[in-house]
Amino acid sequence: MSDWQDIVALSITALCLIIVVWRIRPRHGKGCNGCSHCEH
Amino acid sequence: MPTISGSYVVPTTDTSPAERSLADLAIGASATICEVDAGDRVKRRLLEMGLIPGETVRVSHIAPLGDPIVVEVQGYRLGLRRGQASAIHVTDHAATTAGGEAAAITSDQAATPLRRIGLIGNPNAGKTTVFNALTGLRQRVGNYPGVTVERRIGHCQIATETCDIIDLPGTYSLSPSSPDERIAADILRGHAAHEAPLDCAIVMLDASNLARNLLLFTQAADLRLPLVVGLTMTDLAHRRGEVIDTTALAALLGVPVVPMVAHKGHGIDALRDAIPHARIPVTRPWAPRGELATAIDTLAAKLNSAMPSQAHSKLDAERLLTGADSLIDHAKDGDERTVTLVEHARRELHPAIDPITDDVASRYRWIHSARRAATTITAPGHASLSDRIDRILVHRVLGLGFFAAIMYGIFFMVYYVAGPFMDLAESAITALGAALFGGMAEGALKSLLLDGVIGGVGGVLVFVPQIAMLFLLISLLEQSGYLARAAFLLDRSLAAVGLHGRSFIPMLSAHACAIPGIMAARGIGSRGDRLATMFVAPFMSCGARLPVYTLLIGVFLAPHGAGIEALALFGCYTLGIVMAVVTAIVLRKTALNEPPAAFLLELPAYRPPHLGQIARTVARNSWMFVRKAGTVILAFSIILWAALYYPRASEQQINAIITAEGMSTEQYAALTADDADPASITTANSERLATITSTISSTQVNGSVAGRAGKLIEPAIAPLGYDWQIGIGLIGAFAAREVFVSTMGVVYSVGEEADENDEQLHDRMRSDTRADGSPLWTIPTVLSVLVFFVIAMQCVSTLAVMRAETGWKWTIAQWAVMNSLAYLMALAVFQIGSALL
Repeated sequence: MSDWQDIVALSITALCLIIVVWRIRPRHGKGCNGCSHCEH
Repeated sequence: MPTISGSYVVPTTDTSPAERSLADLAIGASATICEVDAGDRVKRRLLEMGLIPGETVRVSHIAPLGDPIVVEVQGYRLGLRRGQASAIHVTDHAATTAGGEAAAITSDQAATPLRRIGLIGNPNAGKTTVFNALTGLRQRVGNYPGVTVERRIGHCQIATETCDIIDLPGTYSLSPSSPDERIAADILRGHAAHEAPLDCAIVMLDASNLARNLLLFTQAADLRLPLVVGLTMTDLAHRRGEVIDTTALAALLGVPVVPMVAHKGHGIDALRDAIPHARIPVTRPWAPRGELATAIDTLAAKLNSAMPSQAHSKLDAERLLTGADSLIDHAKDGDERTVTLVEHARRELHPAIDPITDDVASRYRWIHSARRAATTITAPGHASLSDRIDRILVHRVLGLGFFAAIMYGIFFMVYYVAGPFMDLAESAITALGAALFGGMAEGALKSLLLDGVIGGVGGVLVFVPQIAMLFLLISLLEQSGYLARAAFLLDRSLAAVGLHGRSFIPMLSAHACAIPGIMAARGIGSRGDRLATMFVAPFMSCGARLPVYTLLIGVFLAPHGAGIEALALFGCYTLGIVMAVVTAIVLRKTALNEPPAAFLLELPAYRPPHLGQIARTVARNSWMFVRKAGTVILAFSIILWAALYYPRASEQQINAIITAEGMSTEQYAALTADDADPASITTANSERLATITSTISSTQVNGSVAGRAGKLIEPAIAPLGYDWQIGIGLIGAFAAREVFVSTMGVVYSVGEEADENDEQLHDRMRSDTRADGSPLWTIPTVLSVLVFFVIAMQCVSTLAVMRAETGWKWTIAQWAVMNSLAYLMALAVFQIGSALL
């Protein structure tokens, strides 16, 4: 686990977790959650 | 016979024996409308669509199953169900109409700067085209009523000010009958929460259908808001032999009128110049007169004395008495005093005066006189191109044949014509991955980039050509005006399963993605039809399910022949539709057991598609798909990669695997080193190396976080024929379905980029076995996984949109129902399949 590659890979994974939670969070009072599926 | 409308009774007059209903007329028959006999809301809407007493109406088409019908009225074609048509009493004798006199009201022209400008008009009047031209934005444009389902804001330089232009959903009237119409009416009337009132409004009028469009103008004029009129589709009116004198029309309307051909950009600058000169119309020629006017004055006085804290203007009283403000809404709000006073006033007028009919009829009387004064007919009476096309496309027999052919054409183009482009995309992605990361040193980063990023995202990007083709075809149909005909043709069949003709568009859109499908359901007026449509739209096989179908069918069913392959794909799509139909029937008989709603759909004139707009729509949607692959799917792929990669197998475990194959660890290290001499690897060594690599991979996956999670859920999915590896794929797919393909690639440890066409992945999947040595991927297992993917609700983004549109209750119900059905159906398929095969 001390390999620098592991540290970089796990940091990227943590960043991805934050992105996923941010992107799919429900947004109150809007007709769309801004998921970029469509143009609305 | 009295009709029940919401919580109160509306008295109606008896019809004379000589009268018959519009539903009794044969194709081609004309008659004159005598009376509209329905509940307040439906009655008002039928009247507003131009079905007013005295008007001539002609039945032009009847749908294949006998219902709905298309009538020509006020110079346009309207689709409506027989049930509604039977509420319209007609005679064969034309009635005379009287012209209206102008009732002057005081002018109080706005002096405030114009900062918020609303853009309103009938559905399909060209608002969005004008909005795009004014603001430089690129919103979607269609030739189907209801493309704009929520308000959108853009900015525009008007004189020296930067103004907000608010594109409102199309509406036939300011007495809304669906949620998107309510958005438009509320913003325009300044009643919308969190929305500042408008300073002025641009009313878009379709010159080729002026009468019905002017009705909305009269209602907008009543709001005492400065107005400017954009007269669109003047080219279409001209082709139909109508020339409109805009100067005369401006004088009659009392506001500036700008002639436009919006899609060619004609008239945009003139409209921009006219906006600062927007005016509140000085006269109100359609205002009620005589006994009705007196009744309105009396009602206003009574309302003000009963509720002194709320100021009721004469216009408020008029809206209440004429049904423009729905009494049902007041009853729902507990405003019993208003309901009682209005019902009393209506009873006093009955039967001599029907305020609802009188209001709309008086508006149409003025509209016809204004139209006659401002329009010159140059070539009357010839059938338009749209009429001639509709003789075939809406024909009772040929219509359904053409519909089937068009749907088959879409299917063929999406699956077969897009194929070579997908192969091209795949080669490009493979080459890109090899060029970028092939030379990297072995380790976590190389694995992340090749297995996680290229394996996950590449497998999904391959589908861009298919998605682009789907959007191209749907845009072509939408812009041409055919989708409204399809909704008309299918209304009877959809009504039989508890849906609505308008449900067709959401269902078709949901084949690309459930989210625009759910959003498009906003245009459906009745709550029951709307909720049922939203609930079942995700059953349609969306673009995200395609990679899963293609992978499983390609790997396991292709060897049985192209016929079986095509049948399986067709079966997946059909199963989705069947599940939607069954669920809709059950919903409408239980939780949504409400009376069927009205079906009123304008059949717009056919228009040649605007290629630039279509190209933009396709490019935007493809880009959205790429962006999704580059954000959410990329992030999920990396998370899944990490869950499969960590924790790493220990050195002792790896050494044990190497020595079990009769190789020393030093020998293994020497043979797998980057600088190893290829000549030193013998055939025997090569085979042992392959076994070692494969065993290390499976030990690694077994012990990883995802492997353990897969094993945790294995008891639950074992009855469906799945092992823990498929379990990992299912877990990933609950974020986004496409992730299943990339997860399979990583789970089967191919170590290279994996997409659904990857031969190594195919071989590894085919040869995978269960713990007892029997093959894992038997036909019942494959069918069970396919059935699960067809039915299950696995898309977090869809759930988020469903929650925003309907609230938690329906979202949770949808998730629970779809996934329970998916589990049970997959279970049945595997168990029955295993017993039979």
